[in-house]
Amino acid sequence: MMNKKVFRLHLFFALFFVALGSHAISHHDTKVLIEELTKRINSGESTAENYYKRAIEYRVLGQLKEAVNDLKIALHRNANFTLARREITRILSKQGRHKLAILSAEKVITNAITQREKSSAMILLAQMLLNAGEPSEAIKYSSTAFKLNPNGKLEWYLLHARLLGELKRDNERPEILRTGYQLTGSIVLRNAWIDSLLECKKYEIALPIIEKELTSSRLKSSWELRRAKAYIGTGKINAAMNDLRMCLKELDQRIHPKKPDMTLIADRGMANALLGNIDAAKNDLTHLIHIGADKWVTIHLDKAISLIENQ
Amino acid sequence: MKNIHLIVIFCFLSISLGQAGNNIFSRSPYLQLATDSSIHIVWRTKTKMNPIIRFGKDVDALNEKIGSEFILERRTVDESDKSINDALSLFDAPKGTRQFEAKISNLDSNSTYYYSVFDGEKRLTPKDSSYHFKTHPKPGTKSPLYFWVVGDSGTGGENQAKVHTAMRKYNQFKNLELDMYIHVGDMAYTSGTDGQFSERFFKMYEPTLRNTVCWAAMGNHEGKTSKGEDGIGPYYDAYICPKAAEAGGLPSGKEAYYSFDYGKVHFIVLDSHDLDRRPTGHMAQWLKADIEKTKAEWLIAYFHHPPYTKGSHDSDKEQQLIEMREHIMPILESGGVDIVFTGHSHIYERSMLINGAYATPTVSEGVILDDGDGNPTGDGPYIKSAGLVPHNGTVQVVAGHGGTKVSRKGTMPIMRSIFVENGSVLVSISDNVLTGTMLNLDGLIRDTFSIKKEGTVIHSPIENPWNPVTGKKPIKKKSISRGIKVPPVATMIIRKNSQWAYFLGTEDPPENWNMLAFNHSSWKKDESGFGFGDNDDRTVLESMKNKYTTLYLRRSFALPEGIDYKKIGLVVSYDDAFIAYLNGKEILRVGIESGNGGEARNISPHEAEKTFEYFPFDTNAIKALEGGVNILAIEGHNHEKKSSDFTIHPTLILKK
Ligand SMILES: [Fe+2]
Repeated sequence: MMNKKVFRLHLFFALFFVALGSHAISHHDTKVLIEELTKRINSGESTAENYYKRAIEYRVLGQLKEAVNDLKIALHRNANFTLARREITRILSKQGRHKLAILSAEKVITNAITQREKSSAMILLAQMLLNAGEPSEAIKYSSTAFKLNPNGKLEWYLLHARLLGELKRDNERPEILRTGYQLTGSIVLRNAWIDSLLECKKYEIALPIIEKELTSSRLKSSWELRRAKAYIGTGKINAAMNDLRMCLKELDQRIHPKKPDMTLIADRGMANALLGNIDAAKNDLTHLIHIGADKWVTIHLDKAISLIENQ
Repeated sequence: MKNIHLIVIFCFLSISLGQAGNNIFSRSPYLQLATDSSIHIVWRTKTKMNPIIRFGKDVDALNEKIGSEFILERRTVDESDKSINDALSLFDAPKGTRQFEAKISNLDSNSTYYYSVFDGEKRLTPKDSSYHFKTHPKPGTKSPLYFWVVGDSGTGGENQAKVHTAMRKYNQFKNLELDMYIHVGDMAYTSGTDGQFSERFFKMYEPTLRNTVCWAAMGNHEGKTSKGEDGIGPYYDAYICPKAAEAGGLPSGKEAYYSFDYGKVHFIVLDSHDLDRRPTGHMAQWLKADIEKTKAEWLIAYFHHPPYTKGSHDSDKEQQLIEMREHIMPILESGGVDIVFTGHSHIYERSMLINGAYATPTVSEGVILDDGDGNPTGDGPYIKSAGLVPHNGTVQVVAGHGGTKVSRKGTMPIMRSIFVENGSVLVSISDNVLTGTMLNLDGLIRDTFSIKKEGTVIHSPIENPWNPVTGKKPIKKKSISRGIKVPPVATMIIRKNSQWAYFLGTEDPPENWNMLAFNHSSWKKDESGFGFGDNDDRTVLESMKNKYTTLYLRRSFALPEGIDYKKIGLVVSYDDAFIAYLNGKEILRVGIESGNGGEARNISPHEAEKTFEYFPFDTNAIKALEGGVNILAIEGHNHEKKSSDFTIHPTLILKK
C-alpha cells in the first residue's frame, strides 16, 4: 500500500508546478488576474499550468463554460495533469453533463499511480455516478476505495453511507458511520450515526446519547426532533408530541421569516410532518425544493409526509 | 555588471536564509493551541537537539520542565529515512529541518507562565520576559479578551511590517497585551510554501508569535500548496488546529475548520477556500451542530472569503463569496453570531448592524437593523440582546488590508466604514461590550465601533438606511410626511406659548446652532408661535415677508422621571415646513425634500389653519434623548419669500 509520505511527495510535485511562476502575479482582482493570464498565454506562455490557473479564476466568477474550455486545453497539453482532470470532472458534473464527468473521472483513475491516488479517484467517480443517479454503480467504487485505503476520509464515509441509504441498505449505515466517527472524530459522522440508528430502530443505543446532548446544548431543536423520533418508535406518543412542539417553538425564533436557513426548514418540515401538520410540512418541502435543497434533504421529508398521510 | 549580479544573488541568499543565518532556530519558538490548562510551543532547527522546555510563573525561576516525551519531533520527508512515521513528516521544509511541538499540560487556567527552550542543558532562548504564555480562562467564566485581527498580510514587505509595528507601539503606549491573534488567511504570498511561511509570517511576526497564539483560517494563497480535505501542506505543518475540540466546541475531524472557547467567547473558524460550502456539506453540518451546542455569550466567526465586499474582490460576482453569504451566513445568524471577520478583499470595510442579507446582489433594503456608526462617542454602540439571540444583528469586518496592495471596486451598500489603506483591527471584549478599532499602518485610529449586549432588544429593519455612497440617510422623494390627530395629552413637556430663543434667517446661524452645547444667550427670546399673516402668531415677525424664509428656534427641556419614551411626540402648528433636531440630531423633517437651513430645497406649501398635528417620536428620536437637559431645535421654513403668511408653533407632549 502506498504510504502517506509518498502521497505527500506526489501532492507536492502536483502543486509545485501550479505554484511555479505565480510570484509574478501580485494583484488579486479576479478579472485582472484573468487578463494577466490571457496576456501570458497570448505571448508564448501558453502552458497547461496557465490554462489551468485561468480556468480556476473563471470558475470563481461562475463562468463554467470558459473554465471547461481552458481545462480541456490544459489536458490536451498535459494529459497527466491530475489537478486539471479532477477540476473538469467536477465542473462537468455541476453542468449536468454526467456522462462526460464519469468518463473524465475514469481517466483520473487510469492516471493514478499510487494506491492512495487510486482510492481517492474512485471516490471521485463514485460521487460522479451518484450525481448521475447511479448509486448502485457508485457504491462499487466507494467500496473498492475503502478496500484500497481503509483509513478513508470523513467525506468518504459520508458518501458511502449516503449510497447505502439511496440503495435502501439502511441497516448497513450505522456500522460505516460509527467506524468513520471513531477514526476521524468528526461530530458530523457521530450525528449521522445517531440518525442512522434511529432509522434502523436501534433506539436503546441512540436515546442515552440524545438525552445527554439535550442537557448540554444551548439550542435543542435538532435533538428534540431526534428524541421525538425515538419516542414515536417506542410508542411514547405524548412525550414525542411534546418534544416536537418544543422543537417548533425554538425553530420559530431561529428561522428568519423572509430568508430562512435551509437546514432549519428541513428540521421544521420534519417536526411538522411528525406532528401531523401535513400542510405546513408540505409547505416546508415545497420551499426546500424551491431553494434548490439537495435531494438527500428533501427525500427524507417527502418519505415522512407520505408515511403519515397513509397512516 | 557582473558585480551587481553577485550582489543581487548575495542579497537573495541572505533573504532566503533569513533568520537561519546566525540563529539556531530556523523558525523561532511560537505558541499554538492554547486551552485553559495547556499550550503548545513550536520551533524549528536545522540540526538534531535534545529538546527541553523549562517554564514557571516566575521569570527568574523556571522550575518546571518537560522533555522529549512530551515533545513531538517532525522532519522533512526523506525516502531513505525508514524510521519516520507519516504523521511526523513535514511537507516541503528544507532538507534536514526538525520541527519540535511541545505540549505543556496541567497548567493553571488564566495564568501567565514564562518559558525557555533548551537543548539539553544549553539555554537557546534568552532570559527575557517576552518569552511567556497565558492559558485561557476556564470556559464559561467571564474574562476580558483583547485580540488582533489581520488578513492578507503575507508579502514580507514594508507595509506588512508597518502594520505589525503600529499594533505593537499602540499596545505599548496603551499598556495593553494581546490575548490572541487571529489571521483570516493569505499569510504567505504567493503560494503558501514552507519558505514563504518562514519568511513572510514567522520571521515577520516573531516578537508577537513568541507570546501570542495565532489561530488561523486558510486563505486561497495557502490553498495553492495546502489542501483542506487532507490537512496536508505547509499551512498544516505551521499550525496545530484543534480538530478534536481540544479547546472547546465540537470536534470537526478536520484541521481546516474548528472552534474554540475563550471564557464566554466562542470562536468559529471556517475554510471558505477549498471545501464544500453548501448547507449539505460536512463543514456546514458541523457548523450547525457546533453553534447549537455553545453556551457562550459572544459568538465570533472568521474565514477568508468575505460575504460582503467591493474591495479588490466583489462579493456579488465571485462564487466562493456568494456561497459563504447564501449558505453559511444563514446558519451563523440563526445561531446568533455577533461579528464576522474575513479578508481576501484588500481593503477595510466594516458594516452597520445587519441581518438576513443573503440576496445576490447585496442590497441595504430590509437588512439593516441599526444604521448608526456604532461609535460609542458618535451614534452610540450597536445594541443587542444579552447572550446569543438568533437574527439579532451582525457586524461584518473585512480586514484584508494587513500588508498587500489595497484597492476598491465600489461601495457595498451595507458598509458603514471603508478605508483603502493598510492596517489591522484590534478587538476588546469586556463583559457585555465588544469594541473594534481599525488601526492603520501609521498607527492612526481610523474606525471605532462597539456592540453592547443587555436585556432584550427587538430589532426590525430600518427603512431608507444610511447610504455609504452619499454618506447620508437618503431623503425619501415623497418626504412630506404630515402629522396625525393629536392624542389625549398626559403631560405638556413644552407648552404652547412657551419662551423660545430664536434667530432670524437673514443669514445662516453658526454651524452648531442645534447642538446641546451651543450657547444661545445672544439670541432673542419670546413666546411661541412665531410668524406673520393669518393673525395666528404670538410673536409676529413683520420683517420676514419678502426678506427671508427661515426661522431658527431653540428650547431646553428635561424629561419627567420614569416615563415611557414611546409616548413622547411633537405637536406642531406649521406653515409651510420644518425640520426638528434633538440634541443636534435630526429627528423629523416635514415638507422639505433635501438640505438644511439655507440649503433646504423643494419646500411644499402647507397652511397652519390654527390646527396642530402630532408626530410621535420614532426610535431614532428616542435614541437621541439625553437623561438630563435636552435641546429641541427647530428650523421653520416658508416655501417662498413672497408668501403671505408663515407660522411655526412647536410643543412637546407625553400622550396618555
Ligand atoms: Fe485571498
